[in-house]
Amino acid sequence: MDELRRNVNEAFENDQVDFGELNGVRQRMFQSALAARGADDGRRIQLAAGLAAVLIVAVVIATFAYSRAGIQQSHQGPPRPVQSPTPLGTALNVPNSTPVILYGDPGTPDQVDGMTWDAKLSGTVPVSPGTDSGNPAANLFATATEIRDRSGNLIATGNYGAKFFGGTWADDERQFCQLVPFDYLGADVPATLQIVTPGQTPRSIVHVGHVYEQVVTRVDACSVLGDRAVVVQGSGGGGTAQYWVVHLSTGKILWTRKFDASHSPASVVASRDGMYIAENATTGTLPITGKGSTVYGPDGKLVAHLADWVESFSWDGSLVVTDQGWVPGNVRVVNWRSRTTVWSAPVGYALQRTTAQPEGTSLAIWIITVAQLSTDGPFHADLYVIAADGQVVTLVRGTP
Amino acid sequence: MAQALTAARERPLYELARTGDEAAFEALIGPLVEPALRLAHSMLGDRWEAEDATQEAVTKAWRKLGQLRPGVPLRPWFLAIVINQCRNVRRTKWFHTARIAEVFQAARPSPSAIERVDIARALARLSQNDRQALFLHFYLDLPIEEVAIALGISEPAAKGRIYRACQRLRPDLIEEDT
Repeated sequence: MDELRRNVNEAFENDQVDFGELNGVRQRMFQSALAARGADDGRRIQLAAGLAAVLIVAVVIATFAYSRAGIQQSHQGPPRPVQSPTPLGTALNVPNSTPVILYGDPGTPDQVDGMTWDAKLSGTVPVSPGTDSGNPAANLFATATEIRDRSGNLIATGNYGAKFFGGTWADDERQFCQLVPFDYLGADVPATLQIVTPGQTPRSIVHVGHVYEQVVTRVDACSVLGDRAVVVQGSGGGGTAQYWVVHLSTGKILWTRKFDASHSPASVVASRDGMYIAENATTGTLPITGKGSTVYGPDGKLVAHLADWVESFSWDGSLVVTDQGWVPGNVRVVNWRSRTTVWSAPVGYALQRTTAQPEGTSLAIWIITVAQLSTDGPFHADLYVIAADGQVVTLVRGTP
Repeated sequence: MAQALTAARERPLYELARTGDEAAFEALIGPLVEPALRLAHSMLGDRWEAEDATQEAVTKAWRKLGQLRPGVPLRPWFLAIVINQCRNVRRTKWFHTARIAEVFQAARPSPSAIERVDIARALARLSQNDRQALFLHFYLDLPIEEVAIALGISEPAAKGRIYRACQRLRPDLIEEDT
């Protein structure tokens, strides 16, 4: 935890000193809430009767209006096209096994488009906007209860999260890692790392980390191909308390790093195969900024220092997307071994998100103008697909 | 295997609460009451107002649990209700005029902790939106995605707001130093 964070938390804590015992408060609140709902039930019946009467009248009026509209339309000829930007109109026609990049259609906020990594084929995809639970190839999508393919076909049902998908997709594109229990259950309990094949019973690997209240414990990398997973446990204050590199087939902890509160990295980012881990640090004083990143190798030995934060790795781990952490801007793609910059985002743009080309070296990078960060959105990003040599494969502007 | 069984009990807990099971509802929301109270207190500056607002938020959560969209985690959803409730309280003019003085009084420096008081003063001068973002992320340790849900904004906006809030603390400190 950096100094600013600690000072801010102390200030908040001082603000909270007049809180005493809260158990009685909690009890009282629940009693009142439950009583209020009971009282509501009676009123609800009366309201329902009234609403039913209003609905009947509304249906009659709507039916009349609809029949009149139908007659008028028949005199107007064929519908005219709506004036709008040019959304993609045809479905993406590639096999489900082909990895694609999904992005919001710049012309139609409710439409998701997909394109192949070489940008040669694109089209609409029947996926809901905001879907963020797909595997790296974007051909399987999970919720807390089911998994579907890119076409919407149901693949499996199960218990995949408490209220939302809690897994981290593996690099074999069909399994995922998860930590259970999915959420804090009223006591600090050890977490269990599991590997899940959809449709089958989860396989428990090892107890690693804890599920605490107000602390996030997550799987950052799940590599079936590399036989590794990386589990990261947050600390109070938003930093990182510890992370573990786990041998998936045996459950053995290969190596781990634990941090005290004063030296906690702000974030930890693992490569797809769990072979490389970047620890992003912050300055301990105001203004709070990124203080670079330290990269550790397969055996936990330090292999590189970088000036900026590592936000993500390419699939093969050779490239990283960097920025200045809390300070928006200076988005770059860097070969971390040679420390050469292969691509830089235009000045004035901040990183929004990235995704790595499965089994390839390209990166898809969404950037938004820093000016947009001063607003609450909606945001429009420019999507760059960058090859390993820094060439821009394609650019989609204004994707929501 | 015991952990797998524990996990299997969680979703039924949520489903039970949705169908009106009071114990399940309390098990789900109970651990969130204290952070909610602290959040409300940070916004309203008064313990009793904070309790009232949190009480109302618990009642609303009980009524609206069925409206929780799939994919939205419970904690930021509930904290968002708390924030809205506090905003409603703050909208009343009497509250605004009565409480501002208390906020600054609470931030008055003590000789033993000048630096912390500087931060406290700087925090007190932040906008409510900026304070909320810092409180959720730093004090309650919510990850950015949950801060975004609780504040009803996008993740980049949440990250930007936290960043700006940190930056805005700096001029206050410089001012205090000179």
